[in-house]
Amino acid sequence: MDHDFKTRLAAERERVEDLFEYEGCKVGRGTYGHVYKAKRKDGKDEKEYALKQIEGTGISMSACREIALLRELKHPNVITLQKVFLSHSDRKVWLLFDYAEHDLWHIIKFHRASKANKKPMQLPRGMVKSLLYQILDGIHYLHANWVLHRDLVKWAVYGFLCLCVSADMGFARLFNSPLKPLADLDPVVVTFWYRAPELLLGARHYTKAIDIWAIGCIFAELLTSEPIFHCRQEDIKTSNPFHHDQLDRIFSVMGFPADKDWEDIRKMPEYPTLQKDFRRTTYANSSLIKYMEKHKVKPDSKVFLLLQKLLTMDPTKRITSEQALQDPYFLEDPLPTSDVFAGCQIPYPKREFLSEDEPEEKTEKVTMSYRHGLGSYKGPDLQKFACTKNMHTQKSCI
Amino acid sequence: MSTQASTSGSVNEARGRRSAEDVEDSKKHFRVCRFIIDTGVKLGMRSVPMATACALYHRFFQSASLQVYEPYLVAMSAIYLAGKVEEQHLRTRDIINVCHRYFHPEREPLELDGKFWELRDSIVQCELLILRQLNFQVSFEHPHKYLLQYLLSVRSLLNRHAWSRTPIAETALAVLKDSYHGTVCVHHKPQHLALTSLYLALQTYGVQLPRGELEWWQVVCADITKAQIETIMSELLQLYDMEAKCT
Repeated sequence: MDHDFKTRLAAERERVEDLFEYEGCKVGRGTYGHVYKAKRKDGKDEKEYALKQIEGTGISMSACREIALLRELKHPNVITLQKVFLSHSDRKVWLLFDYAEHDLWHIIKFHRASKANKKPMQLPRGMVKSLLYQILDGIHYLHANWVLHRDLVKWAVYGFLCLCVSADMGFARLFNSPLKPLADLDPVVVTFWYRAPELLLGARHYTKAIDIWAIGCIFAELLTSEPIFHCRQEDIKTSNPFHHDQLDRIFSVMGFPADKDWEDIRKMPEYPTLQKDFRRTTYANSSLIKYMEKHKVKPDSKVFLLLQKLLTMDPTKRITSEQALQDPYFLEDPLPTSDVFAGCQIPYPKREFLSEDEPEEKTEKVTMSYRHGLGSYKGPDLQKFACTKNMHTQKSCI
Repeated sequence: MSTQASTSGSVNEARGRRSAEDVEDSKKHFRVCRFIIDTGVKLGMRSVPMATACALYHRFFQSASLQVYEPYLVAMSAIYLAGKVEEQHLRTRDIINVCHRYFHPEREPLELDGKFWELRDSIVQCELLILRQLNFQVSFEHPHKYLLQYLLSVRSLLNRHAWSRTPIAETALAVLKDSYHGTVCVHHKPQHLALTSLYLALQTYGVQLPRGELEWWQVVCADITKAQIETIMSELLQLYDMEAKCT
């Protein structure tokens, strides 16, 4: 390719700095790169965008696969990649998305904190329903398509935990960088709290049912403002799938599964350990009904019935996203709305801008230990985490 | 009268010239794909990344001109990019060394001097160019996995001895891999390509399959027609003719 041709092409190419204003508007930073809140310079529209500058130069393997995957996804509840900027001179890659002011973590943490501070603020029931409907709709789309794309598996598994809600539209969107190893995500995302029992018993393959369990956990948390299977944990990096305390927590809420409820439990790799360490009688008095009743959710309500179908121990009996979308819960008033914030005030704070030379990720990691115990820790720091410092929220989000 | 004849004559001539150019282009692409596959083997690439490299190359030249872009550079970048798309990382250093040896088997590897870095820079720049040209649609569904399924079905229709006597699986896979020498690999559905490769392999060895209400190929792949099989088959056979002309 001759030189003139190259320079001509370079001159014609749209450059991100010519089209968008984003200076001083950094809202997130991590190993993946930087995220800015941006606006068009030419004023063609007044929309807010999120601009992600990928760390490093050139097209890395993960950037390449991420872009290729995003190019193929098209669903109202899955984030859309608007544009890619490639600069040939410094070989920087920029991705343009719609901006989302809030995300699910943001919301969950806000309510956890308000509860921990003894000023509990319930999520409006209509908002819970709309959120759940949109999560299910997005996950259904991913589940229906992942046979075609192996990256979608990784995406779907934790994607919905990184759900974004844009303030203008009130649309919830699934968003995640599909190729980030799980450990690279927000450690809270990787906690065992949302892990399905079959995973804790050594199941080696991700299935759609695993996502459904996690959605069930989120649903319960949206209803009660506290993580349903909250569990203290120190050794997050352990490679052993069997996690005694986490299983103990699940059984203390749900009760120990009866043989007829989960016949294949005997085939699980960690079943012998389970038999050795656990006794059915310990959990004789526990059930999801009792747990939710404590939180004022009646066992005959449609909310509860759907929750129960999502949180079914046996993965083969767990409801699918498609069936869940048809559930009577969504046909009963109030109907789910496309704007999850419809008719209510948004109490959640907006994202804050970071200064260009904010401390690195590492210092954030140190403070992580607080956050694991978020449910039980009731100090002033909590407020700070939940409301002002949302670095990790954004990290997992964009 | 005579003017008309001469215009139609020149149209025919132009048409003839264009098809002659097309043949030359196809020959060029055939040679470059042979280059991709040869270097791919030396780089230890698996079949699917190699298929992706060829598909990237063909897709690129579907909309770009051979007169403007150097095909061997595009090929090298396609190899590099395919490694990323299929998660089999390849170093530019290795790609350059292997390609250098391909063109100059008698020479020593390139020194790490200005020339080497220029070449490396060209490869990564051209990689960005391919991404732009293809609108970042760089992940392909390849026929390999379908062929495996079809082979399993067909094996169950044959008796064990008939199956072990003839190298059907090997031949079908070889035909499939060969299809990446031409644009046939990006013009047809992966299922159809897999099926036709198998069809051709079975025909080659004269293997008869039991026929019920439906033909065997209708059973394994519902949406293909006999005419489509024949079109793809003739495109595949043309590639083998091309091989004779190119080597």
